[in-house]
Amino acid sequence: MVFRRRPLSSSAAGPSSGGQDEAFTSEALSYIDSLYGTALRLTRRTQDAEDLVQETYLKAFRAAGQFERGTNLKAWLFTILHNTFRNVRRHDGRNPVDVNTDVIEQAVDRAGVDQSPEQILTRATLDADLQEALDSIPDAFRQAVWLRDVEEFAYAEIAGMLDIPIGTVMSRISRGRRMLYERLTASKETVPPRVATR
Amino acid sequence: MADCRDVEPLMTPYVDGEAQPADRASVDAHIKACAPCRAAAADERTAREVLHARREELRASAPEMLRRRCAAQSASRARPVAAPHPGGLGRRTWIPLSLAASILLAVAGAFFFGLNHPVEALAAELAVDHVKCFQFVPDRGMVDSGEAGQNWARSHGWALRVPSSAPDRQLVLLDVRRCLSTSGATAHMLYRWRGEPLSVYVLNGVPARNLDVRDVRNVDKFGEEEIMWSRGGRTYAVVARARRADLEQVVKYVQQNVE
Repeated sequence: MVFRRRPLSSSAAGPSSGGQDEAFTSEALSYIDSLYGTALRLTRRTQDAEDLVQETYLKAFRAAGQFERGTNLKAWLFTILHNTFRNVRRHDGRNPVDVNTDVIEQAVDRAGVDQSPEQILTRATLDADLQEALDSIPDAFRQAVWLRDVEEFAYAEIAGMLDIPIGTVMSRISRGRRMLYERLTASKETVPPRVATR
Repeated sequence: MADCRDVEPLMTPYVDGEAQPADRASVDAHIKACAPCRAAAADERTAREVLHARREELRASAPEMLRRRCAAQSASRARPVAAPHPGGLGRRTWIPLSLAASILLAVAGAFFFGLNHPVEALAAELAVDHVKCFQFVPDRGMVDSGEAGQNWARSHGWALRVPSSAPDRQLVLLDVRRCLSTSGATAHMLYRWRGEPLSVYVLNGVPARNLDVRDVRNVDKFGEEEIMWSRGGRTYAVVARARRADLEQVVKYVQQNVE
């Protein structure tokens, strides 16, 4: 079943279609924190993030009739958000997906820091550290990792949002996570008295 | 046995616990023998665990004003719109179809009605914005003025006094939003007054000398009565469809509570 457009006068709408509209609207709006958080990661500016989220809702409400009920509304909204973001970037002359992954892979050489996962976990205690490490990862990788580990989307859903093959999604998640690990350990190296040993 | 290149695409599902049993066995066998891949898997798992552990803290909370604006946009579903907005992070996308119409009318007004004075042009723009914005106000009843003021300061970085609802004056605060005039440095407070729309605009950083609004001015635009004044580096406007004498009574109340 598909959500139908409501006539201009809401009183003219039947109770069932009105109810569907309400359900669609309220479910869509329930994802605003996720959309906003993701938009912040993409744009890194609160004002741009707000504009991006607002644009996403504007498009979503107008295209509500195209949403297939029973599919994942959150994923649908995220797809609109990323499409909008890509259009904007293209317009700006910047393309976050245009990344030479080979070069980056070479850069993701392990720091050779002997730290246990527990140590890293414990030391990534400050929000700021983790946020900074996350923000230092190239956009394409950060997006994939964020959508997977923070927003918990399936690989196929992420592939749809980012408009890339599912294999690429997985390899970006993999590399992105290792880059994050690298940044987290690297940033800790500067904290005395702990000195990395090889 | 699978080599490193075979294993690489399986690594993320492996770490996520979503690999097929056969793939899982294949990765297990490989990393047992291959130290670099074993380390890569461990790194990936650690990063994943850090993110999962701190997921809630990484998430953000959308500002209240954004929530309201997005909720108000659900009204756009009801409107027959030919095509979605072409996109763009423009500051001007958040009231559907509003700015273009507003500017067009204000500019057209300046040409056709001889509104070449900046005050006249601004008055025209605000009058159009006033009519337009009320089409998108969600009917949620009264809004708390203190909270709205705090949200405004948080979202926009400048303090705003929001006159509260006044039952004895039949004045009800419905919403506070950013207006698109003067590069978005304008607060638009929307009220229901005696059952009809009333707008209060505050233009931050638009002092009198730029606009030449030295005293209170009355402007009649498109049938809307408008009273404007400047004080302390800000310009204020109250817009409603009403008799001037009646509007002046409300303006007194607004002036006491907004400046």
